[in-house]
Formats: sequence, C-alpha cells, structure tokens
Amino acid sequence: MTFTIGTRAVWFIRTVTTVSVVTVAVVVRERWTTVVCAILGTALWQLAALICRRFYGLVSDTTVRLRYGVLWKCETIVPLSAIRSIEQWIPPFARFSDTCMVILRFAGGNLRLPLLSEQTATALVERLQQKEK
Amino acid sequence: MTCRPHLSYAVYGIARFWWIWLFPLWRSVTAKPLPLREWLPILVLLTYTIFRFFRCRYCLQESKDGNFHSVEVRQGIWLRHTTHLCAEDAASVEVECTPLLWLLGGRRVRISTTGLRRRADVLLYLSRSHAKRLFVTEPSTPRERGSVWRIVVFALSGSNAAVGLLSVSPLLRQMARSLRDFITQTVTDTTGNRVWTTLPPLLQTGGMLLLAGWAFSAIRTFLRYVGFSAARTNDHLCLRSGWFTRRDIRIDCDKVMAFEVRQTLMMRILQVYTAVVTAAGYGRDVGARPVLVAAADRGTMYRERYRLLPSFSDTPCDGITCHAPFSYIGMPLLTFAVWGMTVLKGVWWRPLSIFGLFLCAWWLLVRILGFQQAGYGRTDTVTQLSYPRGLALHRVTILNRAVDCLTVIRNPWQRYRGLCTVRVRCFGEKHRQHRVKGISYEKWQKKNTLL
Repeated sequence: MTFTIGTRAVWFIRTVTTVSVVTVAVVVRERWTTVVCAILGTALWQLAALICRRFYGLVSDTTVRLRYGVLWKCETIVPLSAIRSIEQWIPPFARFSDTCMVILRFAGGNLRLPLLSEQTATALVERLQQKEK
Repeated sequence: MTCRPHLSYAVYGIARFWWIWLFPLWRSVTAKPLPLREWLPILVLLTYTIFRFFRCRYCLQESKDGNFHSVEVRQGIWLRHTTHLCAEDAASVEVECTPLLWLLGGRRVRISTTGLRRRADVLLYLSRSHAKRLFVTEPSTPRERGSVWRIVVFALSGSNAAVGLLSVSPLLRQMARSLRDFITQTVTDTTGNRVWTTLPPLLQTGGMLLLAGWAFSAIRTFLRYVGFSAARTNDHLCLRSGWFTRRDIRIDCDKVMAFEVRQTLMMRILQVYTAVVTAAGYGRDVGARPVLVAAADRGTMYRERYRLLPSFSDTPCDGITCHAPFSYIGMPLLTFAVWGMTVLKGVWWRPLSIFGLFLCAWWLLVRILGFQQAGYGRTDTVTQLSYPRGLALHRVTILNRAVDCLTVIRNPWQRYRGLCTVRVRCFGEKHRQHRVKGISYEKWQKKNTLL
C-alpha cells in the first residue's frame, strides 16, 4: 500500500501561503515589499506542490517506508514489529483541507505522517492494524 | 511467604527527607536547644515513616529451586497500592549493598521490567540472607575479573569532563598569578586594590576545586569498578562491581539490545577499552547503562563479548567506510584555525588562547580518529555503526530486531557525491540516536535489500 499527501491539502497550503503573503503586501503597501512578496508568493506556491509531490510512503509486509524532502532528501524505515501504537489526529480545519496526521509510536520515538487525506489515513491505520494481528 | 521489609526501609525513608530534619538538627548542635515546635516536622516525619514501615508487606514466592518466582508489595498509609511482579517479566534485578545497608545487615533490591517508567518497578529492602538466597545466584561459569591497573587508568582518563577539569585547573592558577602581578604593578587606589586583591585567591581556590573535582571523579569511578567481574549463567548476565557500594546485577540476555565500545582519546592512547550494553528496562533510576567490560585491552574485550554475548559476535567484516572527511573534521579544523590565529596575532590573553588551541587540537584529533574508524555494517543478525560523538569514539553493535527506526538523509552535496548519512534508533535507548555520516548510498542500499 502506498500513501501520499492529499490533493486538497496541497491547495489548502497554497491558499494559506498566498493569503499570508498578500496580507503582508497589503498591510505594508510599499513598492519593494510588494515585489518581494510577489516573488516569495510564487516561490512558495511552487514549493508547496514540490514538497507534497516528494512525500511518498509505502507499507510493505515488514516495514513502513517514508520518503520526503526537496533539498534534504530523507528516507525513514520503521519495521512493523517496532510499532507500539498508532494515533490518528484530525485538525479543526479538516473539513476544508481534508487533512489528517497519523503518528506511529515506537520505543525510541515516533514517526509523523502529516497532511494525509482522511480516507488515506483511515486505510493506512486499518492496514497497520491488520499487520499487527 | 509474607514478611515485613527490613529496618533499612525505615532508615532510608527518613533519609529521603534529609532537607526537613537537617536544619533543625544543625541548629540544635550549634545554638541553644530548640523549642518543641521546631522539632515538630521531624516528629511528624518519624511518625509517618514508622507507620509506613509497619503498613508495608512483601509477599515473596519462591520457585522449586529456591529462586525468586514472584513478588507482591503492599504499601502506603492513606493510598494503599499493591504491585505484582513475576520473575519471567523481570528484565533486570539489582542487589545493592551500601555501607549503611552493610551496617544494618540489609540489602536493597531493584527489579525492573521493560516498561517506560522512570524508576524501578519494584524496590525491596530485605535482610542479607534473604536477598542472597532469592536474588543472588553464583554463576556456573567462572567470573572474569578486571585488571586493577586498567581500572586505575580508566578511572583517571575515562571521563572527558574530569580530564577537562584537570586541564582547566592550571589555567586558573596561572590566571591568578598573572592577575596578582597586574594588580601590584598597576592598581594603586585603595578601593580598587581591595576589589582586585580578592580575585587571585578566588581563582586559585577555583583551580584547586577543579583539581579536587577530577580527583573525586577518579576515586568514585575506581571505587565503582574495582572488583568488577562478569559471568553468564543460562540466559542471564551476572555482573558484580563496587567496593564501598557492592552491586550484584542480573540481566536477562534476551533484553540486551546493543553492545557499545566507548573510548576517550586518553583511553585510546593507553589502550584501554570499556564496553557497555543497552538492556531494556535497566538503569531507569540513574540513567546509567550496565558495564560489561570495565577496562580491558582489545583482545580481552572481544573475548569477553564472545563469552558473554555470542549473538553480538557476528560482526560484519565488509562494512561501508566513510568518504567525507570534512563532515567530521570540518568544524574542529575551522575552530583550530581560528584559535591558532588568536595565538599568532596575540588578540586575547595568551594563556587563554593557548588553552583554546589545545582544546581544539584535542577535538580535531578525536575527530580524525573517528573518521578513520567511521563506518556502517550489517549482517543477518546485527547492525554495526562506528562514529565519534563529542570527544569520544563509539562502536555500537545493535541487534537487527532492536532497530526501531532507520533514517537516511542526503543533502544536495551528498546527493552529488553519492553519499548519505544514516541514523539509527534502537529499542531501549529512548531518544538516543546513532549516526554515521558520509557513507556510500549505493553500498548502503545493497546492504539493506531485505528492508
């Protein structure tokens, strides 16, 4: 089973960053600040999509693998036997963003899987619980 | 068998609240006799401890061969709580004998499981004979004892912080001498003289205190590990150590997750090795990990590892070495260069600059040695990582089943060179991570195809 960040989450992040940048530009109302905000807004718009595209996870028979990162590429591998508990967190704005966070806790720490769609998160939790049994 | 705890339970119960009774006691000795109301906290504490002692019960069950089978502890005055624990759930058992316990004829027994509580699951105060019969088993194989000379060397050089105190001490004393010369030549007014003349004795005293700190650390380490011996019986490791405070530790071998060899630079020069193990559930009280080999040469250490923990002897012979020297020595080299410039240009006070240069040289040397031995290896049963951390060199062997999380990180420069950084988290080590930088990503992938 594979999982990635949901499409609606990408648009939610894009919207939030654009609104923030536009708010700063409107409040400051200075020419160079507007130019900088425009460049920054464009860069963040593309970066959000790139970050979400580079987030990729896989649940195999023995491990959970997660790949993420744009400049610093990270790959995390957690054996299924090491997972002690699974948490699913739903934020208050989930209705608009369709985002959930799944936390896999093991003895040495935890692995956070943010911005999954609710359907994906539920399917992932069910799959992990089946493997535990 | 149901019994009361040993008298030492009450004594340590009172000693735990030393901050209540110490001040009135000191005042009664040094000043006129205190009124009764000032003795009230002590009387309340004594009454509470005595009540707790009489209300506490141990129910110890023995197995057919006379060893510990299970225990039930009932204690508390207002809030009564009962703890049950079986021998098969116990990951480690520690029997401790401090000088006070020896005087009272008692022993303190800590039984820990592999849970996440900060303290031991069960703490018992038993008589000497009772504790020895139930918890101390002499192993069938002979105990291997540590060499006293090597333990002395380990005590003198095993702690980087203690050696640091030793090297800062002459610096402070030199500062005191320089300041005294400066004051006599330059400061002439009475007030300034009065202020400045207090500094040299303070610095001198500071230097002596640091020297005393190093000596205290060395003596403490020596007393902790002199008489150290290790043996294995069936599925348990039996460790014994200490002179003033004797500890008999029994650890379930199945709960040993990692074997780590640690060396400071001084230990490397003197060819002394120390090995500790990570045993899930042990050491939560004090945060320490059990020492398997206190101080030995290389051959003895590996022989002991094979004898006591053969599952950790299957070490990889074709490990991946490190190809990025600057990831290890970059920062020390830079700071060494900066301090070298301050010495050459005379920017700061010269003894301080030389001391800083010496510290950076020490750090650089550790990192160079660490880079030479840094690497990653993996077999069917164990994963081995070698890396420098701080001012010490580490070589960790972890059981594959104990590896909780493996993270591989590649920054843009590492991606260009085909390298990566591997970070491993292990069961039983809480948030501690083992990290090796600058190894080949392609080779790492080939070694971990089963993941």
